[in-house]
Amino acid sequence: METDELITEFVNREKAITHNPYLATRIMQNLTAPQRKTVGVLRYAAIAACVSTLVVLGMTIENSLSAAPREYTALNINDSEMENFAIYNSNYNEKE
Amino acid sequence: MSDQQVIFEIINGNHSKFEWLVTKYQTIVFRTAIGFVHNKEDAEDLTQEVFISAFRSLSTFQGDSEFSTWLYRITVNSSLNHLNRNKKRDLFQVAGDFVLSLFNTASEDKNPHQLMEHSERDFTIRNAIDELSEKQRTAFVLSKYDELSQREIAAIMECSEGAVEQHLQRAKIKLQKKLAHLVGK
Repeated sequence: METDELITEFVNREKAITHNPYLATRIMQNLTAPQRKTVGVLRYAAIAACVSTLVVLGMTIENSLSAAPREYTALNINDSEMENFAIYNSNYNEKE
Repeated sequence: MSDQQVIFEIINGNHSKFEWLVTKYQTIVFRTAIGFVHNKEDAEDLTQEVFISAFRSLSTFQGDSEFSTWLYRITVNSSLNHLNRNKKRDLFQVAGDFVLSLFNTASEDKNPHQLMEHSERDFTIRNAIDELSEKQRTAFVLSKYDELSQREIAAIMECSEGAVEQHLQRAKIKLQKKLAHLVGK
């Protein structure tokens, strides 16, 4: 097969590809919707505002937690003063 | 109704008339775009881009040349810009295109080996076309895909017919060299 034939065959195959039948509608829709770009810009602004709010909120919460005095509760239990639970469990002193 | 009349109406505010131009020229714009990008989706996106650019700069259309010539010029420029933007195609995209071309090949009772061979051949031809210089490629696409005469191509490329012939001749020689190993397979 000659090179020219190969190329012609390839080109013909690509030429046979047809566009979407609604392409013209899609183009006209894009032309009549110029506000799309503004929406895109607004979307980026909204995302940036959300991220900034989250960062500020996170920092505020962190600051408020570290500034507040913490009250610790500790149990001071003297083991020697604890009742022996074995007393309740054993039946050694009970009469049968 | 002539193109000039429709353009006059669009410039005077009747924007809906632009659909008439889109319907009339979408096929040639799409065909030219596919010659550059070899991909239906990209070609459709380019077609849309071309018509939007044409609509926005319609008031600058002088009417010195045919509207189709002007539109072809926008298509060629948009396609070349698109190619320059996507010059650094990653390996995955190239591999993806190859696999897609494998599945998109019409079967015509070919066995998997033949299918693979045909896809490889298409891939090589596509790469050879893509490696032509911008001017050679433009002349090649307009000549082969749009079947335009050298005079029409010269008007679009804003050069002489002799220059177009030279571009086509050089493109042919380059392609023959690059595809020599495929001949006789």
